Amino acid sequence: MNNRGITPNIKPIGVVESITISERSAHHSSPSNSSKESHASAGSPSKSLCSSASTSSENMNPYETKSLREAVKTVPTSTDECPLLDGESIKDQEPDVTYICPYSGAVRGMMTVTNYKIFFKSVDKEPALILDVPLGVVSQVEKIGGATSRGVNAYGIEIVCKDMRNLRFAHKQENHSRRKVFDKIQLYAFPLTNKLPFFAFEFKEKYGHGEDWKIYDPIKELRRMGVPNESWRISRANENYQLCDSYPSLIAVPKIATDQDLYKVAEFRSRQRLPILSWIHPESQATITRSSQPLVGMTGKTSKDDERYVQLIMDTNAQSHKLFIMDARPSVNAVANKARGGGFESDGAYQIAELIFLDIHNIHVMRESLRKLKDVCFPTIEDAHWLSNIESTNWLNHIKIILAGAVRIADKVESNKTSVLVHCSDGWDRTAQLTSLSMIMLDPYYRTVRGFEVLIEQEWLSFGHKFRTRVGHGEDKHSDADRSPVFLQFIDCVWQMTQQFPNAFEFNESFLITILDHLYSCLFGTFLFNCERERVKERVQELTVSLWSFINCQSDEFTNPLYAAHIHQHVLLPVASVRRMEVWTGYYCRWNPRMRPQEPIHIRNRELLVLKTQLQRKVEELQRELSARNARLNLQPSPPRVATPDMA
Amino acid sequence: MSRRFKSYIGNNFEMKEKGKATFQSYIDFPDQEEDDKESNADYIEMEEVEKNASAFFDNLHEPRKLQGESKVAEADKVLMFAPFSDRKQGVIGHLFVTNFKISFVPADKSSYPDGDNSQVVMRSKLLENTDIPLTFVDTIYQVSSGARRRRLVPGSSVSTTTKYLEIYCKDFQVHVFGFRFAPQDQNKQITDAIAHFSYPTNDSLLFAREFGYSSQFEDGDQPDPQFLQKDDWEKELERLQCQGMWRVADANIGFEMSIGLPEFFVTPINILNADLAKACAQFADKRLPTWCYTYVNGASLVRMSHVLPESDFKILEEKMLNAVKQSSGNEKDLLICDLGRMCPSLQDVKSSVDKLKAIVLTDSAKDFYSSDARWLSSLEATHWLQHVAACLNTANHVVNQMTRDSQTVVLKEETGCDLSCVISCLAQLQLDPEFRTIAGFQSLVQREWVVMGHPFQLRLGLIWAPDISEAEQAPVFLLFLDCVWQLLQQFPSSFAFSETYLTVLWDTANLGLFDTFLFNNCRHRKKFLSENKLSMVTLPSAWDWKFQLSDEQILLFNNPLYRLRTSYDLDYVVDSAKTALHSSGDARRENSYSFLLGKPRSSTEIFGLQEVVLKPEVTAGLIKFWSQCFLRWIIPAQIVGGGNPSQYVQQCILTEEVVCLEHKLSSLTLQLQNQLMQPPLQQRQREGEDRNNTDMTIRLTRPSSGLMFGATGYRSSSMQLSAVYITSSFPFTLAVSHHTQHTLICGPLSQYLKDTAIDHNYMQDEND
Repeated sequence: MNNRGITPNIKPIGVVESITISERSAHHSSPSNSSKESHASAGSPSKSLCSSASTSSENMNPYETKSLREAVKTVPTSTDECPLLDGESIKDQEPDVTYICPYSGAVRGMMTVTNYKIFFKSVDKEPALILDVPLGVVSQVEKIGGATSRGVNAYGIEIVCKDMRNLRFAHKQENHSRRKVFDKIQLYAFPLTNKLPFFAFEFKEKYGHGEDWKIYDPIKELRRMGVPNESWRISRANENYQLCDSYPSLIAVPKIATDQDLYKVAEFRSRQRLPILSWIHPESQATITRSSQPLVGMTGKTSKDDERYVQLIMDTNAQSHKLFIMDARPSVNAVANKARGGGFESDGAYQIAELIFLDIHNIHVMRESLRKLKDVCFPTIEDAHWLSNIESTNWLNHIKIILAGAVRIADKVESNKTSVLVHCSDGWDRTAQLTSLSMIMLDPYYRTVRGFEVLIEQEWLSFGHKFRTRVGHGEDKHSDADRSPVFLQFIDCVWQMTQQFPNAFEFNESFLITILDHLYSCLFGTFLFNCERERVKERVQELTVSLWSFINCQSDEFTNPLYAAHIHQHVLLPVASVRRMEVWTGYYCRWNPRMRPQEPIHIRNRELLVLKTQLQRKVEELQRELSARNARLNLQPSPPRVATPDMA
Repeated sequence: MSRRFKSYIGNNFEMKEKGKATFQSYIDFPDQEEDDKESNADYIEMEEVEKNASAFFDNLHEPRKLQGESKVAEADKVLMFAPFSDRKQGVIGHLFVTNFKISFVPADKSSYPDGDNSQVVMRSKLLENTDIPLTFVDTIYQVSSGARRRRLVPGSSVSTTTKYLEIYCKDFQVHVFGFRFAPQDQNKQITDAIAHFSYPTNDSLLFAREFGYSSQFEDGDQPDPQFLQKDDWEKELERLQCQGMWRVADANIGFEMSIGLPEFFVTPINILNADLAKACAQFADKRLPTWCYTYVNGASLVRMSHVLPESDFKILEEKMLNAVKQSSGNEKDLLICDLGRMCPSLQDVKSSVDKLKAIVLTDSAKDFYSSDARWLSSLEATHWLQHVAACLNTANHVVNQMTRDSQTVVLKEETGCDLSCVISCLAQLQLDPEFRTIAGFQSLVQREWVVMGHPFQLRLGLIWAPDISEAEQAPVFLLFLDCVWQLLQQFPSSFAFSETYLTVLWDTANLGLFDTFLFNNCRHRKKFLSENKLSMVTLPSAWDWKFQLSDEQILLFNNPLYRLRTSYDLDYVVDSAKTALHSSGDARRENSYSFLLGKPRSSTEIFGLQEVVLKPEVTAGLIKFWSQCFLRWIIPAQIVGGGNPSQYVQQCILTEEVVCLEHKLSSLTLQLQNQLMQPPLQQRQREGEDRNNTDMTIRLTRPSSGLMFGATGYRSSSMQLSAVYITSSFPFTLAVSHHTQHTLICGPLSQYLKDTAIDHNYMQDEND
């Protein structure tokens, strides 16, 4: 207990020198960077000394260790109280603000607002409590208490965050600091509303070779899957987004379908999102294709072109004379969509196809479920009713149904060798969840760091999941009905899979949390905007940094020590049962010091791997030395076996 | 299909069987009793039977029997249904009931793993795959024609013809047998036999008696310490350096003073035997304050039962407690922990386990999925996890008082032999690393549970009698094992054993064959073993694992993280590992990088940071469901190619690689040194042979990791490993629903070893 307070060897210069990393459990060093909170003595007093009990965790993180060190060099020393990124500037600084920590109570300190973050550092606590919250996570800022408010800390602001927490700061009325802070947060947290650029466009950090916008190359990806081939071709019909404005410029379609055909099919599909190729089975040629719903409407319209096109998709797979259409929605919703001109493929029209509804609810249901989950997880949990509270949010149940749907798709493709067409209503939310999850199950490539990045680039970014709208980047519209945690849900599903298959994924929990943190942070250009067309227009690749650059230049941080690539050249079928699922407390409850394991097993595993690697290196060194010596001494041709063990 | 513990290492036929055709005589079996379908089924079935009949009757397999075991009933043409097959698939065979087990012998020999390699097929040395020990039987349901389902309660007799028997077991498995084709006369006979022999009404009817009469187990087989003799207690007092304060009392020799307490126990040094005799009458079950443990600061842990309510001699209790206080080495007041208020009662535990069984145990995939959406609230409603948390919380409280305030703690419980055992053991596990080794843990259970008189026979429901109340059958030991499992989850490198060890321990306790877990107290044991003066009953100790398990199976008890932390001197690589972590931006983790690799270091050094005293978190979010124990037979919940076992296997591989590399490194270093000191070339050529011998010696010294891929444990060829697949139920079962294609989903264990630094040739050299 007494020797926990070891000063870190590496720390951002002038940043947290007064902070020891003592209470940081490694578990929480993983939760990446963008949002962090550190407490000196949170939680029960008995715990605060001995381990992970406090939240002083996120103040040093992959991001800081890499970027801040350099960034700080360019920053005048006067701002050493608040570390700044390249491109970041201080907009307001208030020395006497109180942070009402839900775990350790009120803490007095200095609050800084920049064009990127809110930074708070306590003054009278040792070690200091540091809070570092990117403005991108802010969903809503509210003033609490008025001029007549009585009581301690009743006057201040409350910030509702997108990353499962709320922050409360108390101001002294006489300081008149609240108004300034409030205005600055309001201005810089919602750049879109205020017609300002996202901070990503001002952020000038360089990572690695800066080549990582190139990590996803659609041509290369299609070639990896053997496309073009005798049945599939790459179409440039959407080069200027004239065929479908939410699709990428390059799409893979059945070879026989002409570009004219594509236009006709697009007409019959909601928002012109015609069926396009996501994945192709290397052996059976069974495919996963995705689209939006057909525009059947109340009158039960049909389209010969669409029917033929679906037939063409089936024909590309010689193994099967059938095609499954997986409609992600509950059937009632699909029927209800007819009233709005949508609907589903009618039995008669698509004779070769079997339609299956996967019962996944819409974005509004999911948003509500997450809202309830936040209530259950933050700030503290109710021990006596934890499980039933979780159940009442339905969150895990939704996750389960999504996973079950993806398992069904993967099973049809793998076991039945049958192609599957996936759609929901618009084909950019539930559809993206299902295709990407089933691709992870089917193709080990997507279980690597690189492959997973590609998967997100392809199935989510390029195929038009509306990140800006769903996350609400930069907009002051807390209650916008278009916001929904669709992508978070996908990441949660992936996390559930990593839990069920501890050695099948190259990446770790920290990788997933980092992605989520930067989904909101607006530090990188990756998740900005709704589709490829918008990103091209805004010159995202030229003007912003890719999240993958940041991640790939420190891949050690994000690798799973138990990853055993060779054993998982196979299909993974997770058990879609709540009995085998867990609430992702490492993400949803990460602010709560009591919810952290004291000896996280992934740290142990990592230590094992590091030891092994070190030994391996030493053995190799010795072997080299020995053989060099042998060569020099001109020994017999074959040295003893022990000296040259087969070091795979 | 296989139940209980089974090593798939060195079990080369196993997966072939599981993978495609364990149930080779699968028959499609209609649920409805429509006549046409019925005859159709009969047709298929009869064809099947005829095909196998001759072979079967030529060489009728009787189940393998233990000494003293005898057949009591049998039935032919019984269907054993594949789990979760909706009674649509099964294998036909012969069902036997003996005085020890219910044993199913498949008719089709090809699906009956036997013959030349019967050694290999044993799940344990005592049981076949398809055996159910009678002591495992929890509840039995009879389904008679017309689909009437009723519970067979002990003592009831069966009048209707049995169609199915559903047997729910204490190891959380359900077995279903179909009797549709069994001869009518055997039908009633076998149902009666199962109902009768599963519920012995007193311990003279237990198989253990027959077994014990017919076998001879040397006392030497009993591992130390047993705490039946004075010596063992004295050694423990000495180890903890508290002989000056506490003494071993022999006041209960011949159990004249207390039935529940052992002949020897430890009391404050100032209490004379006469005082004990006087005071004990005031305590329930005469369990006066006895010593459990003394921490380094002198604070002790003491347990006792409630003072009898009719007793007005409170003064004697006070006198006893004063003596305890005098022995605690400081002036602080004692902390009296009333476990009745802080922990679940026996009734709570019993009803909680019953509810837990109700939600876990099922043989129907339909039930499984339909209840899934309500799983969390159902689990909460069992209160099991809350009870676990309450115990851990109480133990935390005890530990805090002892370590922080140097206060002596007295555990007070109505019976003095139930939750006291749980809390006392948990506190000692948290305080003393010694008890986190396998030997230490066993000595702890032996002392606090077995010798101090936890009534295992009653609590495990080994016997059934109408006058035993429900609460008496509360499986407190399972609650304890779950608590230990929680500690293991929260401190994964602090325990020498794996979760498999704990699960096997639960099954072992239920087997009713071992000296250790068969009795209610020491007196009961002594009486049972020596009732017949002419022939002593001798029984094996549960701690003698080799009695029931193979060496390979026992290796699965070991925790690779603990092994690495404690058994290897890797100091010299640790430094460079540290450097590597720093340069990879991991510096901030260094304080948690507290692996005690090699020798314990002084506390100023970074690797000495491992906490000695464990203090688990008890918040609901961190108290987990012990899925290995509870879900291992539930096939729809089985993760093929994943689950905790895949993590375990990978840790074993990494650890083994570290051990291999470490050894390689020292061989190389030695070689390099040799070379530096080597004589000139010509001389060396003359002495070439000698040099080779030196290499050989280096090779032979490779240390044993004690893990599944270790040099000593690894006996299987890669072909055998290629027949082993990992599921979340490993090593208990590999049963998967028949339509799952293993090879599609995961690779065999041999693939795990590809591209690792574990050098197979190297190992074979050693085996040569």
